[in-house]
Amino acid sequence: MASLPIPVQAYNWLYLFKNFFFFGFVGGIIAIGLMIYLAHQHRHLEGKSRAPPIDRIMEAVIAAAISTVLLISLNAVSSKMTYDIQYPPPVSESLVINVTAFQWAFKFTYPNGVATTGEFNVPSGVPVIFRVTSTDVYHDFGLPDFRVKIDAIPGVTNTLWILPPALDGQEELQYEFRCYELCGVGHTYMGGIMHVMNQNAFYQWLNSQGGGS
Amino acid sequence: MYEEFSFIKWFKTTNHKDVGILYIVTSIFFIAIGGSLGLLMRAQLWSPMSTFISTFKYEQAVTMHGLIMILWFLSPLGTGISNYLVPIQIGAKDMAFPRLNALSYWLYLFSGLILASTFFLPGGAPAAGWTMYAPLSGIQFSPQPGMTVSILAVAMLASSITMSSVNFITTILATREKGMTWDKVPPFSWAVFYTNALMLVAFPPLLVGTSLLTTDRLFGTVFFSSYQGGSILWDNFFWFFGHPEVYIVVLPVLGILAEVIMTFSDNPLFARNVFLLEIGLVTILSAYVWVHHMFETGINYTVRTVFSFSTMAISIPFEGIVLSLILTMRNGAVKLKMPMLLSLGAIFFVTLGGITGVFQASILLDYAFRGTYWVVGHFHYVMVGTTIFGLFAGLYYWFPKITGKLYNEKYLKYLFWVDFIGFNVLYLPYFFLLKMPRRVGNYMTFPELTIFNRIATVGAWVFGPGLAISAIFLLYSVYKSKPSKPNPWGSKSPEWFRNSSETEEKFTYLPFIISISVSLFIIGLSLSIPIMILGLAIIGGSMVTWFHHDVNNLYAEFKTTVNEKWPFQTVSKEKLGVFVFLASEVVVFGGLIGGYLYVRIRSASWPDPFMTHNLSIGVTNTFILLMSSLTMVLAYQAIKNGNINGLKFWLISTLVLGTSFEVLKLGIEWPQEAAKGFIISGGLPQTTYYTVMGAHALHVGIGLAAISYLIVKVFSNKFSISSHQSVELIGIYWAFVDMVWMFLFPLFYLL
Repeated sequence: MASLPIPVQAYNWLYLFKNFFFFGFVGGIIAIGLMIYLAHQHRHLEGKSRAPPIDRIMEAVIAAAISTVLLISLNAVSSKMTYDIQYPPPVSESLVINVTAFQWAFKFTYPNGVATTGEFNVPSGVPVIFRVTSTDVYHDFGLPDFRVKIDAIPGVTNTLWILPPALDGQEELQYEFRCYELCGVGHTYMGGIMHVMNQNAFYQWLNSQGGGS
Repeated sequence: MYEEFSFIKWFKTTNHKDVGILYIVTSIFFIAIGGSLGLLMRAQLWSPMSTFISTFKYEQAVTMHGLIMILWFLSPLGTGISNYLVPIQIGAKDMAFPRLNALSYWLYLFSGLILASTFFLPGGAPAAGWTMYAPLSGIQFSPQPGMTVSILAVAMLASSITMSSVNFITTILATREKGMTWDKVPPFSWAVFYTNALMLVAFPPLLVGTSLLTTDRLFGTVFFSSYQGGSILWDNFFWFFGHPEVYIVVLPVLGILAEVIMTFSDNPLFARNVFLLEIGLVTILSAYVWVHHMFETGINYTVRTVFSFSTMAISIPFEGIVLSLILTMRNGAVKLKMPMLLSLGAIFFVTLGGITGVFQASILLDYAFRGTYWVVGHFHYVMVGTTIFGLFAGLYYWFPKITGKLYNEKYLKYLFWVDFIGFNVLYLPYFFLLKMPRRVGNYMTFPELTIFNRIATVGAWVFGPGLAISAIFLLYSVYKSKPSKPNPWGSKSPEWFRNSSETEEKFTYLPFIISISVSLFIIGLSLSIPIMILGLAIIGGSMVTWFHHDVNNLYAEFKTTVNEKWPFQTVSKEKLGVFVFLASEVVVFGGLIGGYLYVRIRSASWPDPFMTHNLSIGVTNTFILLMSSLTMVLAYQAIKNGNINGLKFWLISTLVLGTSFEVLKLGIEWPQEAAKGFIISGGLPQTTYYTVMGAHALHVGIGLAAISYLIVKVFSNKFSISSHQSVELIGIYWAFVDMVWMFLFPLFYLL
């Protein structure tokens, strides 16, 4: 499944990750480099007279100030990006799917009452809103390729939304979904496939299933 | 230390050095179990469809690995090292309460043994993860008795840790030698002080959470199976403990690193005051970040953002701490001895673990990390890399102090590189397993991840045995190595120049016996009533014996020393201990009341208290408890004036009043309510009422036992105008128990 198109949410995620990674990598290299340098600097002095200890803390204060500014900026960007995906698009322009987790599968119920278990279909290019809950224990509904997850908790309904990507000339795309919270013996096998179809094919399929389940 | 080796001595010792050694050896026993489970898991993950062990067995291994490593290995090893060294560093002659110290140890050992015993119980070990998320950990989804036993084992450990943190805090606050002011206290003892302060706040919620989970499992309460409580209530209890626990594990390590780096670069600690302040900041902040474990539970955006920022904020003092450690080497003549190598390794790991932790503070990034191997990689860098390397640095550093021997470094240095490389081969690939869920025994839908898993497995089988060989080599060195000079590293820290003053040894078997009987009680509670009763009987008998010893002042200290006690110059260490303990009790009742309010607020309807509870009994009981507080104060006043008969009279009055409270509550009110159909398994109103009231009644009962002890003591003519401290201490406890009722009464009877 390596050639799957990257969904837009995963793009955002990757953008943020790259920024964190850049600064984290540089910071880590500086810290560990400094440690190795200082550990080796005066090793030849062992047992001989040596310079007095340095207790100037200015450099450390500057380093702390830089990283404080850096951390606040990174988190501000992250919080803004999180805010932007907080509210799903209006229900009228999206497809709402109720996801019910149970030991050990997910059940997907469409607005017209059609329900599937283990795998499900979504139309390409239409925002999909998942309303996720559980009937027994704590689960977590995750679409790893979209870099999104939401907890499925008994008595609580949580919302998650995605925009299935364009088909790019293929007939359908298959994305893995999985449970990401230990939920009992069957946890290992709790997951399935999300099929992204073109809109006509999707609605044809949905209507052919008829109302009710 | 001792003239002759005596096997039996270890069961009755109360000396802090012996107890420290017991802690260290026991924790290494537990890492052997936890580590073997880890190797087993890595073997299973060699291929995506492995059938080496079943997935259920795999989940048991995951659960036990987590519980054992975090609770029975990492913190106790730190406790062991601090038990041995803190009293020496600060110039105390022992821990403040030596018998309590022994009791903490034995409770720790036996709680671990009964946890390990769950493998052999019908249904096997618990398999709900070390996080024990409700409702999976409830009776409906995990009916095996092993689950109950393990939850109670955790509660037992939480009690042991609360006792030991009361002990450490009091020791460091009140028993420092003259001249050991706070600015001279070595960084390790400072770090241990912070650690125990954090334990005092973090473990009571775990104790409350596990106790309520137990009443859910055994008595049909519905805290964690109802929608109003349920998963999120457990999440809050657990992570309010769980996140501070990370820092509880890491803080003593930071102290060790500071000591080691100071010694081996022959420099003072860089910016010492800032360093200590930063550890303090980390301690405080760590209690305000727990929601970052719950970013996907549906909590609103604002709350999550606040916790995202607080989580990031914690990395600022932490960065300062690491910088201080690194810059301590500046201009120093660095000697790369074994402890120093391990410390630099630990700094390498904490840098990597810390930076990846910043990634997880971002809510958006966490959407992908949650529940995957990325998280596992991150916290293993902190909890395994930093902590194991750091604690081992401490062990190697103080090895000559503890054993009087010096190991041969040559082979250990090779082993260090094997461990260091093995560790990275094991855990670096985890950052590439971004899609792979945690705690799964197979990953057939992610075949492309096989290669990373295989690399990790190879690393595990290098790192694990490498660590085991170093431990065996160290043990071998205890017997076979050359004697060491008193201060082989040329350290300037005080512990190298003295020993804790050799006082007369005081032995007791009681901590050992009590801990065995507590384990009997717990196993009996889950499996068989007669064993439970036997356990209770021995606990009772031991407590009576303990009190009997105290009535006769068998363990009293007659030599008083002048100690450095700022800011508590006028408070005795016993009184300080009681106040520190009450601080943890405040958190216990805070947790209980918080849990009650949480489910109450989330419930759409709640029965009118005037219909369900007997207000006149409630009011009478309030009056009785208030009166008993008054009589207790009068008892204390009497003995302060030397009036023994007055003391007798008022103590007996308090006992009578307290007993009538219990009789009214448990003997009349509860049966009345049960007859009306208000029974414990009836739903949330009943659940909260019986558990919170029961917890309070239990405290009243303990207070009554303590007052009976005072009465026996006064009739044995042990009190005088100048010696009556236990009256005051038990009076303080009694006043606290009464005060709690003043909160509970309106919450349950009026609202």
